[in-house]
Amino acid sequence: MKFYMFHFMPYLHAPLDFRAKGRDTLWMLYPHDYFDPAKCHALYNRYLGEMELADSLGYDGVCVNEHHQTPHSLMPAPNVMAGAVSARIKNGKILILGRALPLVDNPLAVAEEWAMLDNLTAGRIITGMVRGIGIEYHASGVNPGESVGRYYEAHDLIKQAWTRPGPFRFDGKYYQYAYVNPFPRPFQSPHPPIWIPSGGNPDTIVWAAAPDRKYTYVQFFNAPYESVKKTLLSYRDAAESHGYDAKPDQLAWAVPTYVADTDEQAINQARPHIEALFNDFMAFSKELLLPPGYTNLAAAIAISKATPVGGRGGGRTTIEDLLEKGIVHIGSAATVRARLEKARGEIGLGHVLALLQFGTLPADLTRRNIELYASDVVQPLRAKYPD
Amino acid sequence: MWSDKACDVFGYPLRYWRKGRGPALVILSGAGGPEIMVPLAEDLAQNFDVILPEHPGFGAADAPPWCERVPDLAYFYAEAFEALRLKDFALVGHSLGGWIAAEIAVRDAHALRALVLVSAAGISVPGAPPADNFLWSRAEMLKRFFFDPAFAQQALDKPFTDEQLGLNLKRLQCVARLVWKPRWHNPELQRWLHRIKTPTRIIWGKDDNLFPAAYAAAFQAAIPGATLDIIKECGHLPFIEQPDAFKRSLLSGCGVKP
Repeated sequence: MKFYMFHFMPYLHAPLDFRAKGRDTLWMLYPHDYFDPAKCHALYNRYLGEMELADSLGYDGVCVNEHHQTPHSLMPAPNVMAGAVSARIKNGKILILGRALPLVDNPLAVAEEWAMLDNLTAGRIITGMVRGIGIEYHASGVNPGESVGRYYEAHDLIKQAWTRPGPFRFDGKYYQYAYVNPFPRPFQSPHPPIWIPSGGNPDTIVWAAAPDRKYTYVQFFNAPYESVKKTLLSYRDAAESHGYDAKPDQLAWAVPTYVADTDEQAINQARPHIEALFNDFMAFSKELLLPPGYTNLAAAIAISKATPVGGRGGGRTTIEDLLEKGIVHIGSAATVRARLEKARGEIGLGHVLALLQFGTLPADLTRRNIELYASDVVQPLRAKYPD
Repeated sequence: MWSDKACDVFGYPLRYWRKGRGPALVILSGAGGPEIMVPLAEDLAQNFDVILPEHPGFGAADAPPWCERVPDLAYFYAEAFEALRLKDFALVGHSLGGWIAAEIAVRDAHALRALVLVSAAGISVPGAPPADNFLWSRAEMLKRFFFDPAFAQQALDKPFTDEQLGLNLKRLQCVARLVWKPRWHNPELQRWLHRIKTPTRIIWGKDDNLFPAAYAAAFQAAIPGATLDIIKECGHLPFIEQPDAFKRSLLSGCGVKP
């Protein structure tokens, strides 16, 4: 098993009392006049330090992520952050999970940025290709009904740009180039690994598992364990129907994680911070989260009838709810190890992307979390599951 | 009444409502669909042969893959009018339907006797942006659509059935694909509105919260000879909120004496 430290890099000085001001989200529609550049600068340094700590403790890598117009993430341009990370992380991989391809009008630029990072790090990057969540289509102006088409086409373009001898012509529906011939070429051959983070879209899973791709599928945050299991097993089924067995290396889970000496201590320490993540940093209206056309019609109908996690309708999500559903790993090292071993046994999980800073979790608790997870979870599990 | 047989247009089965005798009058509905315009169509059927189509993708059949932008619908309806052998007819378009009607009129107006644009999308007016309807819940949309909140309440008192919810989401997906970017307008339409030679009437609610009444003046300025009626105490749906004033303006716009 392999273990990575995931970071959202939240602006944790955001006005979490936004509901008292008659607002239902901190994303896009909320006036960001509370922003303090000195605090942002300090947070960047703090978070990069946390990644350095993880690297020095032997994590397999660190992960950056992309979101727009929100204090949930200080990384609207993840490749910029990956560039900064590359100057500090000397051992582990740098995972860009992911870059939202349909949001850009020139995806060739993404192929170029990743090739630069690949050479800067001597081949230590892993790329993640995502559509971005629905709200990004409000924030970027890109038509949500074209999200899927743009995603697949941008993927094809980037992969060809890395592997086909250039110059060549690319005539897509959304992207057209008379000359594709990027320079520098990637460091890794034939190209950097491509991972596919998603919320569990069945079409994406079947596509990612195809024999000419075999992309590692990453089940993203806020999914209950049973649905993580179902989704990752569906990847294995898809692989089987393609005529091969999926390896643990193809199955990844990104999960908020907090370890302390006892379950009780972990829950007490994590509570306000994990509840801030799920209720406040990730609060949206359905309209904001699901612009029409972002999902197919059946999914849109199902979601419009469901109650969202966090902040609306049924009151606040508690740490107890999150633990009961297996959405988070919070507890003693033994508890967290047991949850991961279960996932390993039942799913064949290969990669664990632990979100070790979440919500408002302060620096001292984050560092302690990174250290304890490394010594008491990562090391024993790695020894037990060396693949 | 709804046609038993669909009209085949480029392989798509176009459903339409048709009733009445007299000169033909076509109504292109807004994004919500044709149902809310049926009472108006019934009323107009006293004077006209009224045709009220259901936009592609708005019913049981899925929108054809080529139906991506509003100009695609302009060609689609131009073909449909030929298939229905409509000549010398009045074309009335509300909101999204007004945009489609304007796109038709700049392309080929030879069969048009009159053009009536009601609370129409299609242009961009500096200083008067459209509201972002894609961020509205149904309750918020209804609240914004009327000057008189009683109308919104009346609609809210009738919650959607599951069937209506599904159909509404389907239509919303069709509409978003058509109008998302550039939002609710086509710069090329705006550039060519001056080609319209059909007698044009523009009707607007003074209190339209989706496309502000400044749109009406901009349409009037762009279309040679267009006449304008702004209806007071009226939101985005003038045929529901002020049906009498609306009908008077529509009939005079179509050259019928009241």
